[in-house]
Amino acid sequence: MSLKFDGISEFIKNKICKLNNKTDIYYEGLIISIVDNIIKIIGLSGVFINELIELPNNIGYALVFDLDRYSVNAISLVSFLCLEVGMKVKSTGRILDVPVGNKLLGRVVNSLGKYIDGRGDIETNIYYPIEYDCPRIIDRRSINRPLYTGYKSIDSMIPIGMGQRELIIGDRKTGKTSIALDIIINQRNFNNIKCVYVAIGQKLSTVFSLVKKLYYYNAMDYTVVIASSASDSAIMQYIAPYSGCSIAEYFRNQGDDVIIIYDDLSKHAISYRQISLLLRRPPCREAYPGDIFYIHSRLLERAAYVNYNFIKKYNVNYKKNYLTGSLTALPIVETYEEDISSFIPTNIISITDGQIFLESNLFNSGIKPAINPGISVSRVGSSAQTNIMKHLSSSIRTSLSQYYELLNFSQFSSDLDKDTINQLSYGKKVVEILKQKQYKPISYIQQVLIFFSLKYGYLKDINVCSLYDFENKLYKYFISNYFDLNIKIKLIDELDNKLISNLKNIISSFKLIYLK
Amino acid sequence: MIDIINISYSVSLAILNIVLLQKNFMECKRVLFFLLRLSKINKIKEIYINDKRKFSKLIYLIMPKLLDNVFFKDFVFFLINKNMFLYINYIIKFFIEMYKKKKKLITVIIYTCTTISSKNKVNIKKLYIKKFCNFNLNFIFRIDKKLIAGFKIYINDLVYDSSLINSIKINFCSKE
Repeated sequence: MSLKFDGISEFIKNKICKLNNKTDIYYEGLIISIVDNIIKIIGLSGVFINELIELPNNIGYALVFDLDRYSVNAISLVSFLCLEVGMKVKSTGRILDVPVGNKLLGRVVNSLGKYIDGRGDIETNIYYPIEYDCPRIIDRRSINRPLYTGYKSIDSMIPIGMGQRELIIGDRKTGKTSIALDIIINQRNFNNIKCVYVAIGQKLSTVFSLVKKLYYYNAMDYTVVIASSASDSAIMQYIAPYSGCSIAEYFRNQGDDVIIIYDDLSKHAISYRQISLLLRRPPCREAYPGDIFYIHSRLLERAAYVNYNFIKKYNVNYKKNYLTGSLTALPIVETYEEDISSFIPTNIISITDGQIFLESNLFNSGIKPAINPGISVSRVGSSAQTNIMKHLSSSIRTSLSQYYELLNFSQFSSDLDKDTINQLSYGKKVVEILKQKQYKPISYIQQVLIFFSLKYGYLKDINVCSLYDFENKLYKYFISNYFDLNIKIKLIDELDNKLISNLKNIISSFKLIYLK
Repeated sequence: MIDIINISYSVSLAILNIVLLQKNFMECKRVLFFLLRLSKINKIKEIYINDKRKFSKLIYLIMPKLLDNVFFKDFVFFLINKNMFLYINYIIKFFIEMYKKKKKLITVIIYTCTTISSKNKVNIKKLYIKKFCNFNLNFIFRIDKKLIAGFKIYINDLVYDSSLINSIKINFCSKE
């Protein structure tokens, strides 16, 4: 084979002429120490907080965390084992971003938006920065649309609205993740609702089983899972909820309703504490840094119910002027020995618009979901509750508290008057009705039917142990015989006299069949 | 090595603070460079490694002025006891960089692959003096054949890279 040197030089010249010869402007710095993923750099005088720094030899990137007068502290997003003191780093002028888009639905990604489910690259050209300003006051709407969780106890007593931030709090093994999972599963009955599940510091086997369950219940079609496992570095665990929020914000900006679950923020706080201590920031209460409140408040403040004008900003060709988007945040916090007065729980309780408190005593006594109705609240959700549900579930919370009070008293006395016995049996039935099995969220109509039966005294002659059976059969009977009324209940907001009499007739006729 | 660079940085930061307080930069610079020159002499290195007491006596004999200032006296004591004498080049490097930053001194280093004519040099100087009128500029022209073509300008830590090697790297990386 003969080489034509003239041709080669001509070829190289042509290639050089075609090169995009732009001046590259950047700040350069010198690594002076590397300790536990924390890189100390001198130089880089023009970088800003959260800027990405390019590490040498295309190793990866680092994130600027501290700006001193003469040096910069950055945290490596890749393994620091290949870094050496004396290496030169470059500033990039951009902050960390993650890929977003509909292609992410049904996928499991890491904190940087890269797939970890082995199903290949995610083809998307849209990137959102992980730190983003929350919607302004003018862009927001008051929360007035309900988010159905499929849990009778939550939808009746602690209603959640679209765009609300509701904390799920409790000890370990009290069913926090199960509630979150069931909320995701229940959304399969609604259109335009997307879910984002952020697993922070969890075992990958747990995440795997969770994803498997979501696939089983066909919930992965509208869900994105962001997993930063316990084996990931603290920085990856720290950025996971922010990148999850950015992915969720994309869907919200498209006019969809999004639910984001942060499982859990106590581990997120621990990872941030680890970073802060390594950065030698002064520790405060429980060794957490001073800005621990801010990292959670700025994350949860991004959850909002936004108006049409906000959506229009992101979608120029958007023609429907009635659709709006919402981002509902459901953070999870783990407590130790039911101590909700520790630092992180109190912080997040004060940030969110209510909390669902799960008790291990209730859980162990077989009451599932183990929600404590006494200290569980929803501050804005009641305005999102339908009038029908509001009317039917108004007395549940009081009757429950009365029941628990009477239950304590009844332990001391053997002779009880008739009223007390009635109240106790009623309370027992309420407790039984509110019990629910895992992965079995129930529809709004089923909830309306059972609460209607309870309120109008149709459950008096039904045994406590057969309540579950009664509820299911009643729903099946209603759906098969009165489908038109089913749609009517979904559409109307008020429980008028005609509807009440209709429902009364239906339940009476069903009871005759059931009791036979 | 990691600790030495980190300690050098901390030491230079401490020196800078003292220098700014005592306002004796020139004297400090003289002492530091004197120590640097000493660290490069092999015989003195040998004495330093073998007998530190002898070495300290020698230093004070060569430069008795060191004894007058408590700060210099302590500094030399620290260098000898903490085995940092041979790494004084790092301390000086960091110290000068930080001092420049503090005093708004700018060093413009221009790398080219071929020599620039003096006329062009004057033009470049004029351009930067006009741009940074409030700063003291120090120009250094260097030749780096690795650039292949084009130039690379360092203004302290800000880099303008318009070299051919960089554009090849960028194009290569983007295609990857």
